[in-house]
Amino acid sequence: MQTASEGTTVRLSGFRDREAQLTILLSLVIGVSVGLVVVAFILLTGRLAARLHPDTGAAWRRVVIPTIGSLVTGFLLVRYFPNARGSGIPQTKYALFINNGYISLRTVIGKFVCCATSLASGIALGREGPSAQIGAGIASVLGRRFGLSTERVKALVPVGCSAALAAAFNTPIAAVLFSLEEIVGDMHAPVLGSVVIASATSWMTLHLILGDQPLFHVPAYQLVHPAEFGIYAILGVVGGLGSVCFVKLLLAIRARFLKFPKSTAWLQPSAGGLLVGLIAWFVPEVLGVGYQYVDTVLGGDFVLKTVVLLAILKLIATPACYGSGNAGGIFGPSLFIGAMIGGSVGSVAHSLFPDITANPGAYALVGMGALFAGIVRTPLTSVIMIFEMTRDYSIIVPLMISNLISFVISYELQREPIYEALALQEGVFLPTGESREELAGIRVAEVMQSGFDLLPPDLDLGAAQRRLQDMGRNAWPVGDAQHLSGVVTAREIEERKGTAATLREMLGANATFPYVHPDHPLSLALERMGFAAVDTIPVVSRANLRELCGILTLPDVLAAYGVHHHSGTEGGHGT
Amino acid sequence: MGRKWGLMITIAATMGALWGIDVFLARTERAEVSGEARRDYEAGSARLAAGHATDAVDPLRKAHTQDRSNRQYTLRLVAALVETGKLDEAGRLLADLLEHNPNDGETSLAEARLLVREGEWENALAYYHRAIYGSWDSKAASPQTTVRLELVNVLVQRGLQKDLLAEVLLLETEAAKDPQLLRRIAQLYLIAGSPARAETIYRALLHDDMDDPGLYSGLGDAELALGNYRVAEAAFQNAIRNGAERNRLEQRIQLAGSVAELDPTLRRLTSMEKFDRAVRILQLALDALKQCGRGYSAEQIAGVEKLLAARVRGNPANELAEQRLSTAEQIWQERIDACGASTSVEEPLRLVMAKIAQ
Repeated sequence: MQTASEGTTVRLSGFRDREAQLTILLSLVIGVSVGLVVVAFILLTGRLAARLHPDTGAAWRRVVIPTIGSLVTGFLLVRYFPNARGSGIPQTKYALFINNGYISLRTVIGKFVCCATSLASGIALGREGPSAQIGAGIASVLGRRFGLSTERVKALVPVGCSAALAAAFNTPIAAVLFSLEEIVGDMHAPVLGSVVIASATSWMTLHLILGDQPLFHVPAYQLVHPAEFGIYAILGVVGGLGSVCFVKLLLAIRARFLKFPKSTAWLQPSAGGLLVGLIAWFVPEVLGVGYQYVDTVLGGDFVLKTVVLLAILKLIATPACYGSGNAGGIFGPSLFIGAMIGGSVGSVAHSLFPDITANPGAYALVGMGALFAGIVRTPLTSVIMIFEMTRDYSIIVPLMISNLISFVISYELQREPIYEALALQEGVFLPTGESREELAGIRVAEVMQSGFDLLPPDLDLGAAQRRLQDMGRNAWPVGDAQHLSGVVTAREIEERKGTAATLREMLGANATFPYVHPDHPLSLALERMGFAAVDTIPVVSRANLRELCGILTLPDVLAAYGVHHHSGTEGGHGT
Repeated sequence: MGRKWGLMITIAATMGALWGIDVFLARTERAEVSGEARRDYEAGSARLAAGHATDAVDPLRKAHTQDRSNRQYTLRLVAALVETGKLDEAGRLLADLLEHNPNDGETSLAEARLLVREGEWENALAYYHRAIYGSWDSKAASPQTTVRLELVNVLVQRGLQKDLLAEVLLLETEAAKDPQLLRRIAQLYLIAGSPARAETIYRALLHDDMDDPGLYSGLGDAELALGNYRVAEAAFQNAIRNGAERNRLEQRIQLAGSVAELDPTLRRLTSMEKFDRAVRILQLALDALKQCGRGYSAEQIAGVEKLLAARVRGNPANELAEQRLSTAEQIWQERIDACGASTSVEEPLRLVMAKIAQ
């Protein structure tokens, strides 16, 4: 005969299985849906941009259209879609870490409409960050509509994000890595399978509709001479410094705009639009994402003065657009600036040492990775992304050198990553990768208690209930010094009062119970406590599950994380 | 349960609608982009055809960027880049195309042209052969002969006579009965040092068209090269009678006459006549060497002059004539080695020397 606790476990297990199956199925649906939406976003933005400011269009259009576009966007953002501002990455992380994976359908629609408007009008921002938020939003909406638990909905956020980036960049592996490295902050996250499925599905959708066209067309490169490594290292230094300039300028401008009265919020984006328009009057290449110029530079056909000018102007235009509150991302611009900086360094190197250096286009390519690593702070993603774009293994080593140097310089000169810093300006404390690593590093053994009394197995249920109430806990281990019998909860005692006299009877011979080992990370303990709805969990030996090493309570865990625990909120679902 | 099904149907319908929108947008984009690319391609091609290669590069590059799958756009851009000396970029574009389809004849031809510009002759010849034996669009007319003619022109420029002869022989087998091409082949045989083959073709062509002055002129050149100077003279006369340009042919007639008067290999010559001709040939060879200014020392020249000045009484022995001819051959070889190909003034001497060497 099945005991009540066994029945609960079976029910929970069945529910978990169904949810897991549904999650896999949803990952496929998310992959296709997000792929379709992102393709529509890319095509719509591109076609609108081509019509609004064609290459042969009058110069005045280049001033007026970004200004009007940003005014319209500003109004829409303030009036209808307040959560659709900015890049989309901090917003996605906010949804994941703070808002239980919740992103509303309105935000998804708003992000699509506002970003399409602003990017098509020529605002110097990118489409990939917004795509990530749109993807995460679609995943969140679908998860909720299918009635998934909050945890499952949260788990779908990186899934949607990965699907969106796979379609936006045409780099499915980098999309998976970015979702894990930047969004989740854990390369071994349990959502890996779903993230990969969604990324692959989305990428296939993109290919079915648009064919096998890479984002950039890159000629094959080769390392001409080992001395080139030195030049790539210099490129890493320049890229790192460029990244720091970009991030600091963007944060400074955003901070300045945040100080303006709230009533001017709808007007603020037009400042960025007007600035871009005025620059574009003279240098049209600064409008929009500018990937076609990146393509040209990667081909190695450019003039040094032009690429230097474009790097500087974009370095000003993008922070101005973002800082003034326009909707759009910084991935694209960081690649653009990287290509221009890389092209400049490569061009100088090639003119000085033509016999030992590759075509400047190769440096432009590596520069893209270096800036991406320095600004977004995802060195692994940037290496894989460039590798996926080029499908050229020979570029990997120079890329790793430049990326690492750029990343280190950027880290040393601007400790706080851009997305966390932007969120902080809005009063939101997002966990950084570092802090997450620190927390993940705390082990159960460092926090667990010893020297406590277990509930004797022969204790009658009424006494056990009173003991639990006295201790202020909803669960406690049962057994003696030599043998742990199990864990009882106040709810189970209440349910079994009429059918069992003692705890031994209640637990039965082979009672299952939640537990952790001393070497487990605290996060896992928290997860298990949450799943079993207990505020106390036994810590047992790996050699013998019935050998008790200590106990872990919810206040101990929260204290270790530096969170003050209010006794009033304490309860079975406190996690 | 019903709610879940409703949700699934809604999702499926939304996805279907999105698919439709995406396909529509993608088609619209493709149509617009390919239209723009076509316009840019046409503008660039027109500029290239008008000889404004520098102005052609930008529109052709735009066309290529907008539609990279179009090989024609890429190849036309390559042509413009080669014309403007941007050989690196042209090379990269061709490398991509060849990686995609290594057997493509048109791309191989473009690569061969690029290599010619870069002075990589051996590789260029290899790519010309790949172009000849590669695959071509079925729509285009068979281009192998045209490519081989281009290769032949390169070989002519490089003075690679053996390779040239091999290609012209193949060209003749491909030419079938195209009289224009056969006429060109005959000219090429002359350049390749095979005047007998040229003569055969000219005579065959004259069999079908006895009034063509160009054929008579070519035949005259072939006969001249074969050493049949009188026959050559007659052919040139026929050309003039049939309306060929008189000035040039009169010069050829004069040349044939001059060479005929110099030719020491004629059988009916007396020993004195042969000796006189040998002395004149030696004098001409020495003059050519002096004009060149390199090759022989003053002492050697003095030795030759002494030989020239030597008087012979009575009928000179054949050995004396042969001695002078042999010296003349050595001097002529020195002249060629020191100063390269002969000048037009030296043409009679060259022809005589070729005849003696036969």
